[in-house]
Amino acid sequence: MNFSHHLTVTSLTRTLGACGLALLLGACTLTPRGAQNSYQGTTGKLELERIEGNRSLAASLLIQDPIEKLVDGRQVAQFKLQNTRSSAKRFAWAVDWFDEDGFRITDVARVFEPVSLGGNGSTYITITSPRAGKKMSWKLIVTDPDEVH
Amino acid sequence: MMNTARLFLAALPLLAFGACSTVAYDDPDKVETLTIDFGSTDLQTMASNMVTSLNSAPQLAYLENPSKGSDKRVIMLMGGVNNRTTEHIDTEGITDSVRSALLQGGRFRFVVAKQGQEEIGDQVRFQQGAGRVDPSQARSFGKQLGAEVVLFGTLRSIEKTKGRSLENGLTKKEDVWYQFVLECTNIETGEIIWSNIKEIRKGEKKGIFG
Repeated sequence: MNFSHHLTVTSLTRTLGACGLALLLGACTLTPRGAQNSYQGTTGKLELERIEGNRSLAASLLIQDPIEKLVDGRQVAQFKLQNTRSSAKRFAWAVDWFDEDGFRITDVARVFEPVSLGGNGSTYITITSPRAGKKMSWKLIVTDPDEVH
Repeated sequence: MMNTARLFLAALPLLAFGACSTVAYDDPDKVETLTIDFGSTDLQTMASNMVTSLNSAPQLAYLENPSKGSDKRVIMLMGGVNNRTTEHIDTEGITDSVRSALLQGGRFRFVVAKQGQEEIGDQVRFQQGAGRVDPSQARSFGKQLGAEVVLFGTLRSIEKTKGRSLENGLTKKEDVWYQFVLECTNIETGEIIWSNIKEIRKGEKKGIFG
């Protein structure tokens, strides 16, 4: 009886060990994926229109203090990104620009720039319109670093 | 015997998942961190940063003077990017991306670099000498645009590795720092009129089984 019980315990331990090892190996390749948050603004309107599909990201990363100015006819906007958590936060951002008629300006490709922000840290993002013009609008897209893997 | 069978059964789904291989189109804008080496996201980030800066650089405004007539665009030659990293990187990928985006931005005109001059020379010689092209339409030498500025740069890196040890839990850490410097120089005066630096830092931590 005891011998049989010992065998069962040993096999259970081995099975759990095999599963644990497999989970450990799998965990090494996990990367965060998630929906995007977007913040839209236009010339002269500093209140951001927010679409926050990724609530977890929105809670841990605040977009603050948007300011703007015109430099040689081009719109320049700046934002502060504040990590509200004590742990480091990884995210990626990109910006789309739109002309006076609302058409996306395709002069520059949309590039998601990865950023790693330390716990409770902050950084500033400055965006410049690819063309000179008035009433340009922009959309800042912030997402978890949806990675190729 | 029973134990072996149980272990096999436990491992079977994992083997099955691992055996699945798929091919699919993916978003070229996704962040690429397959390895710590220079990758597509690094190239896109560097190029995008430089293009944004160049398109809005007030230092080049004096070249857009009224004496040029209706087309005030700055005539630029895209030079090379010197690869001073330890990796084999096709830096023409960076210069091609920068040139293409600058052209679309509408502030710059580009003259062909060395790569295109041979093709142009061959074609002009053909048009002039083969007797097959209408003489009124045959192009001739000596009418190419003269570049006002040349854009060139350097890509360098510093790499550090910390090997596995009990101290760091048998993990291996690698760190690489890339610095991309691009300069715009006035060909006539030799003055560097614009320069920008983009730095990228990447880290990789390899687990015991990595």
